[in-house]
Amino acid sequence: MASLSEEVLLVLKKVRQRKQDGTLYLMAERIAWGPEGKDRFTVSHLYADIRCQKISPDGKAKVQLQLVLHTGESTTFHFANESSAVKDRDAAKELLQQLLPKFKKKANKELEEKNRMLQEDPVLFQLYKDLVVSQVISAEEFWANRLGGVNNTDSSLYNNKQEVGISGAFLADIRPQTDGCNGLRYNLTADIIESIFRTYPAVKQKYSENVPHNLTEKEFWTRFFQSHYFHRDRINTGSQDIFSECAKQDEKGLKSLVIQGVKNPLVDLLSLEDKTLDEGYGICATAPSTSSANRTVKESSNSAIIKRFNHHSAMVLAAGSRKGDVLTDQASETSSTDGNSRDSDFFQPPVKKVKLQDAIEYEDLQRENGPKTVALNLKKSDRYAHGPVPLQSQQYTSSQDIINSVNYIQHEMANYKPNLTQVLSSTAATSAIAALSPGGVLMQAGSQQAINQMVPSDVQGELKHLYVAAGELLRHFWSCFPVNTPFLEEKVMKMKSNLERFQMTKLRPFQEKIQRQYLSTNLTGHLEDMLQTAYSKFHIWQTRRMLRKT
Amino acid sequence: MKLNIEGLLVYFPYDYIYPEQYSYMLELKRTLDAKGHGVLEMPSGTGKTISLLSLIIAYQKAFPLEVTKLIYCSRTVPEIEKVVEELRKLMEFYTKETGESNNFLALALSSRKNLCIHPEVSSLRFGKEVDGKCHSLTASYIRAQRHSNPNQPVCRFYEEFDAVGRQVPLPAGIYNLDDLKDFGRRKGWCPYYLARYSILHANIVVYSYHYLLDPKIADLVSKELAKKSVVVFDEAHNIDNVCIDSMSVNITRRTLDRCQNNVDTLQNTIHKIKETDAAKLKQEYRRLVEGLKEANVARETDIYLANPVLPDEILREAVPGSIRTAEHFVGFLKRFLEYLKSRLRVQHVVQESAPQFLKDIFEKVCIDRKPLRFCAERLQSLLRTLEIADIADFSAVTLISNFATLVSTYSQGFTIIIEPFEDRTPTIANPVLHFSCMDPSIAIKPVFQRFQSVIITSGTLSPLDIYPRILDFRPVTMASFTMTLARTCLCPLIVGRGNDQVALSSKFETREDFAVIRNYGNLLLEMSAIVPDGIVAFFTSYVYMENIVASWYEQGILENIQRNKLIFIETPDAAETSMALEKYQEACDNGRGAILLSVARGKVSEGIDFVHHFGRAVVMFGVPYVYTQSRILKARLEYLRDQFQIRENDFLTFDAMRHAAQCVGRAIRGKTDYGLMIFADKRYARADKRGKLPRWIQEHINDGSLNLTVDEAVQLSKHFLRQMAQPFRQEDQLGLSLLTLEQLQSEEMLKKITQIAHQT
Repeated sequence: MASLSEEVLLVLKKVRQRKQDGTLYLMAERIAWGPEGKDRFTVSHLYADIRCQKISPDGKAKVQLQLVLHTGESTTFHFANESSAVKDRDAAKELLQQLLPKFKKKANKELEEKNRMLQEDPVLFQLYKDLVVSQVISAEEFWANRLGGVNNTDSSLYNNKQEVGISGAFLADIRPQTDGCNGLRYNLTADIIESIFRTYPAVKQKYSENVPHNLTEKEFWTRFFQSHYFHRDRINTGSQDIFSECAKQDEKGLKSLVIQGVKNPLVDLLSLEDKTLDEGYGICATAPSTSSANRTVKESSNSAIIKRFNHHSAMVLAAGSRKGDVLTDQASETSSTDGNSRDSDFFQPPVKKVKLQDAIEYEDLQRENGPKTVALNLKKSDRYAHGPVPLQSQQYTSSQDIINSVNYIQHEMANYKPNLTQVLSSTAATSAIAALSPGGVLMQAGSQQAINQMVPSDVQGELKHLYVAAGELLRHFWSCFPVNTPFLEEKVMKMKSNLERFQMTKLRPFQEKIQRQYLSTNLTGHLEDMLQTAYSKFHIWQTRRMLRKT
Repeated sequence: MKLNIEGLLVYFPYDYIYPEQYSYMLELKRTLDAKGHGVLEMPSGTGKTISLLSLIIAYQKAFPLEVTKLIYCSRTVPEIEKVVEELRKLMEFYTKETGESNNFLALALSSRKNLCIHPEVSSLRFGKEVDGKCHSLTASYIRAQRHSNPNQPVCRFYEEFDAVGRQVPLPAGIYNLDDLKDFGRRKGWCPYYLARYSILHANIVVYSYHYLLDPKIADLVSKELAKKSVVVFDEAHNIDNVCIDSMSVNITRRTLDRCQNNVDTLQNTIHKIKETDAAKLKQEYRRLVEGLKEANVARETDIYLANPVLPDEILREAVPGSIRTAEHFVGFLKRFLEYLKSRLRVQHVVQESAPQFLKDIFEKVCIDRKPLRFCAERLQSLLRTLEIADIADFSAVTLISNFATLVSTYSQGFTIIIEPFEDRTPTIANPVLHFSCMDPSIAIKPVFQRFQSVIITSGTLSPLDIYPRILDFRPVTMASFTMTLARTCLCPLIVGRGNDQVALSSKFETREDFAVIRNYGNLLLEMSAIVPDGIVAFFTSYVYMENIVASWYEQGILENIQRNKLIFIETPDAAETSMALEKYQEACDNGRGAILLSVARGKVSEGIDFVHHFGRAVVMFGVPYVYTQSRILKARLEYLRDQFQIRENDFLTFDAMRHAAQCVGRAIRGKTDYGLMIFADKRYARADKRGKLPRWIQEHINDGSLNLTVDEAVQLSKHFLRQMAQPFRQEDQLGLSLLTLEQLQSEEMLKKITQIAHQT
C-alpha cells in the first residue's frame, strides 16, 4: 500500500465495507478502501466523482458513511471500531466536507468551461474532432494550453457571461434539523455561504475580520445562526452580538436607498399627491401613532420583519445585477448629485417623458407601427418563386418536347463514334491538363483567385480544417523551442511524432483524394512545406543534442 | 379618425376605436347638450380620458359660446401629467388633420413644489417648506419693503413675471408641468404664478381636486373661472372622502400648545407695532369698520388660506365690533383657546352637534356666534397687517380660527367628537377634538351650482345611484359601460374555502384564526408558483397585514414563497414603499418575478397601476371594510341614514366594494393586458357584495367561480394563464372590441353599441 506515492491524509482502521473489515484511506485526490491484509484497494473513488456524502443519524446503532457518486452508485462504509466509531466517522466526514467542494467545483467548472468553448467556437470544435477524436493528440494535451490561454487572454469574454443570481430563498434552504437533544443543526454548503456573502456584504466583512484570528469558521456560523440578525423577528437588543453592527449597517444601507429616492416618477409615492391637506385638517388625521413609545414589542417586531423582507429582496435583486449595475449606479449617482443642483430638471424629463408616453399609449388603437406590411396575395406562386422571366422565353417547351429531345440525345450517344485519329497523344493531353489546372504553368497567374472557383467547396472546407489542425500542432511544436527542460524535450519528441501521425492519417488521404479528383496536388504543397520545415528543425535540434551528449 | 357623434364632428387621434368609447362619447354629448351633470362608469384602460378630451374639445370648438372652458380634475400628479400628454396627442392630431395651427391654450396647474424654478426654493423637499419659503420671498409687504431696502431678498422670477408677465397672455399651446417650467426659465418668469394667472383665460385646465373642492384653496385659485365650464372629476370614486376631508378639522393638545405660542407671538408683535407704527393698526381698524374687506391689492402671493367655509356662506358685512381692534381679537382668541383646552380635559368621550357646542361656549366663556364666524377672516387681516413672514409657523392658530368659523357657520352636517384617548391605548391620554364633516355634498355643492356641466367618472363607480345621493345632485345621465372583449382577459375568482374546507374570511371573529391565515398563505404560495412575473396582494388594513406576515413568517410560508418570487411589502413610510415598488418593478422586469404585499385604501392601491407583467394577478385578502368602531364613521353612518335614507350596511358594503374593485382593477389596463382577480373571502360570493362590483367585473363572475377552494382556483388560473399566453393580435380584436371607421358606421354595430351603455 505504501507503494503509492500519493499523500495520505487520513487512515482509518476497522472500517467495514460489504461486511468485510478493512482500512479506509483518504488521499489527496481520492478515497480508497482496502480489505484487511491485502495490499490493494478494492474500492477507490476520485473525489471529483463523488456527488455527496451521507451519514447515518446519531441515534443509530451502526455508524455509517455513504458516498453517492455522480453515476448514481453508492458505497457505504461502516465504522466498526467500538471505542471511536463516531469519532472516526466524523473525522472522515469533516475531511470529506472540506475536500469535496474543491473537486466538485473544479471538475464541474472545467467541464463546463470546455463544453462552452467547444459550443461557442465551431472551428475549435472541428479541431477537437480532428485532433482528439481521431487520437492524434490526447484530450489533455489539447486542453493543456488552450484553457490556460483562455483564462489569460480571453478573460473579457469569460466575464461577459451572465452571472448566476441568487435564489430568493437561500436562507430558507438552510433548514435547521433538530438533533434529538435540544440542539439545532444547520447544514451549510459552499453555495449558501456564497449567497450569504453576496447578499449581505456586512456579514462577509465580519467574516473576514474575525474568522482567521478571533473565531473558527464553525464558531462564526454558530454565532451567525444564534444572532438576532439571522432571526429577523427578534429585535436587536444585545450589543455583545457581533452581528448587531451588521443590522445597523443594513439599516443604514436601506436608509440611503430610501433617501436616494426612485427614478421612476410614476411610482414615487411622495410626489403622488398634489396638494396634501395641512396638518390638522382631514378626517383621518389620527392615524395609528407611530411613535415607538406606545408600540408594543410585538408590533415593532412585526414591522422589523417587514423591513427585513424588503431589504432582503432588494439585496438579492441587487446581488444578481451587481456587476452590471456598477456603471448605471455611477450614472445615477452623478445625475442624482446633479439633481440637487438647480438644473435637475434637465436630467429628469427623459425618464419621465418616456414613462408618461408609455402610460398613455394604447397599442391596439394604433395602426401597427413601422412600415405597414401588405399581405402578399399570389395567384401563381411558382412564378413568384422563379422571379421575372424575360419575355422572349415565353415559348414554353411542352413535356412532349422534352421527351423528344431526350430521346434524340440518347440516340446520338448510342451512335457516337470517337474520331481517334484526330486526338492528342495521352502525354500531351495530361501535360496540357496539368498546365491548365490551378497551380499549373499556364494557370500560375490566376491561381490565387481561382482556387475558390476551381476547387469544390467540400474540398476547400477540408483543406481549411487541415490547415487549422496543422497549425495547431505546429504551434505546439514550435512552442517547445528553445528546448531547455527535460519536459520540453519530451514534449518536442512527442509533438514530432504527432506531426508525423498527422501527415500519415490526415494529409496523405487528402492528397490521394484530390489526386483522384484531378485537382492540383499543389493545394497541399504549402502544408507539406510547413511540416518539412518543422522536421528539419527537429533534425537539427536532434543532431545538436546528439553532439552535445557525445 | 373623424367621428360623427350625433351631428358633432369629433377628431379622435387613433386609427381604431373601442365600441365603448363611442358609446361613452354619445352619453357625454347628451349630457353636455342638456347642460346637466353626469355620472359615467367605464372600465379602466378603455381610454376614458382620450374619449372625454376628444368629445369635449370637439364640443368646445363647435359651440365656443356654450362651453368656454374644460376643467379637468384628477387625483395625483402623474395622472394630471398623463392627461396633458393625451391632450397633446389630440391637439397634434387636430393640427395634422385640419392644417390649422392650434389656438387652444391648455395647461396643468400644480402646487409650488412641482412648479418652482427658484434654485433655492425648489430644492426643498416638502411642499409646505416650498410654500413657506416662496411666501417669504414674494409676499406683498416683503416686496414693499424692498423699495426701501434693496438688500431684501426677493424672487427674481416672480418680480419678472409681475413686471411683464401679465401683459401678454401665454401663447396658445399645451403646457405640462415641465413645459411650464421650461417656458418660465426661458422667460425668467415664475411658472407657478404664470399658470395661476393663465388658468383664467385657458381653454383647458388640468389640476387636482383640491383646487376646486377645498374652499380654503378654491377661493384663491378657482374663484374666477367661468360659469360656462365643463368640470370633469376623473377617478372620482373617492370624491366624497375628498369633500369630507376638506371640511374637517382635528385639534389635539399639541395643536393647542402651538396655538398658545402663536397667540403670544401675536400679542408681542402687536405691542411692538403699537410702539413703532400705531397708524398701521388704526388703519386696519378703520378698514374693518367700513367693511372694506380685501381692500389690499397685489394679494395673490399672500398664501393665507382663504376662508374655510364656502363662498355663499360668508357674511357680507363688517367684522363685528368685539373683535375689531387687534388687542380685542387676541383676547378673544385667548378665551376661545382656553375654552378648547378645558374641553380637551375630558375623561370620557363626548359627542355633540355644532349648535350644542355654540350654546356651551356661550354659557362658559360668553363667546357669541357672530364673532366666531368672522374669526378666520379677522385672523387673516391681522396676520397681513402684522406682516408676519413665516406663515407656516402660524398654522396652529389658523387651524383654530378656521374651526371657529366652520363650527359657527354650519349647524348641520357636522359633528364634534372629543376623545380623551385612542381606542387601542386607553391608558395613554391623547385627547383629540374631531370636528368632522359628515356630508360630502356641502363641499361639492357650489361646484354643481356654479358650473353648467359636471361629469363624475371613474372605472369603479358602482352602484351608480349612490353617488348622486351622497353628493346630493340630479344627474341627467347615469351610465355604466362594459368592456367589450375579444378574449376574456380578466378572470375574477372568488376563493371561499381552503383545501381543508376551512371558510376563508377576514371577518373579525376569524381574524386571528390560524387556519384561515395558513390557508391564505397557501393560496399565495400556490399562486406564486403558477403566475408569471408580478403578483399584487392586498390586505384589508395595515395591522392585519403585519399580523399575517408575522405568522406566515413563523410558519415558514414566506420562505417557501421566496423560492418562487421575491417579496416586497408596503410600509407606512412612503419613501420606503416607493423604493420597494421600484424594486418590485425591477424584479418583474428582469424576469425573477415578485410579490407585492399591500394594503387596500393605502397609497399603493390608490395611485399605482400594475400594467401588464407588473400585475398578472391581484389577490384581495378579505373584504376591505373600513374600521367600523370609529366614532366618526358611526356618526357619519347615522347621518347618512337620517338624511339620505342609506342604510349603514349598504354604505359600508358599498365603501368596501369600491375599494376592493379599485384594488383588483389596478391590474387591468387595457384590452391587451390580462390578469387574474382573486377575491379571497367567502363573503364576496353573496349577492349583496357581488352586486356592488362594477359591471365589467361582475359580468365575468360565473356561478362556477363563486365558492372555490384554493386548489380549484389554482386549476382555473392555470387554464386561464395558459390561454392568455397565446399570441393576441389586432386582427383578433378587430370588429369585436376594436372598430375601424367603416365598421363603426354599420347599422348592426351601432345597434350593438347602444347596448354597451347600461343606464340606471
